[in-house]
Amino acid sequence: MTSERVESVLELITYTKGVAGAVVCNRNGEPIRDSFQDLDRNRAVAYSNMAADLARDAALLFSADESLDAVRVRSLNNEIIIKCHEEFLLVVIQELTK
Amino acid sequence: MEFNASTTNERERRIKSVEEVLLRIAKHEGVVGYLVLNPADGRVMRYSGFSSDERKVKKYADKINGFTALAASTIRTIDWKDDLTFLRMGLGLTEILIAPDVDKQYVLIVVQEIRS
Repeated sequence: MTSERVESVLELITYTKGVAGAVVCNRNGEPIRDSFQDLDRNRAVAYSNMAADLARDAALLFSADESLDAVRVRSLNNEIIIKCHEEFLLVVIQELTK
Repeated sequence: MEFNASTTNERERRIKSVEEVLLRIAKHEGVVGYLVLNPADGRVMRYSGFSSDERKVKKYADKINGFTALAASTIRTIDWKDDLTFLRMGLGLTEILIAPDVDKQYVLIVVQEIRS
């Protein structure tokens, strides 16, 4: 996938209704690219660390033939969708409407 | 608390409706099994399915209790007023659905296979 394609997919995700933002980070939780509409870098860092913690814990817990593909974490205010790749994590934060 | 006839009937009615819900979950297409955990100590309070393999049930219980605690912790780290309400994990052809109780008295875990 070319970088233009990556950018356009990220933009598409970010401007989907209900999406607060998206982050691409590495497995250590370092954000590589984020696209929060409110431009809050701190949020990107916080969610990257969260995703890295969960991906790391899941990798330890489950055996090789059951590696984590994706995890959705729903809370009172948000749903966080983490898509796992060998090197990278895609984190999408959706706001929940009540 | 007073225990009169109507209280007993109410309790029995609730137990019956919980049984019906759990049975409906267990029978759903693709469901491998479910378990109900006590999150305080990870003890399995009840389970169904998993080909009655208790070792497998224990395996899931231990792993998922820890993971659920971590997920709840990361959510509170980001916003201390927020709380975990549901968790869904995709692991290859298996999906694990985790529903913690609001009062933290139990965690309901359903394991299902994805068919494509």
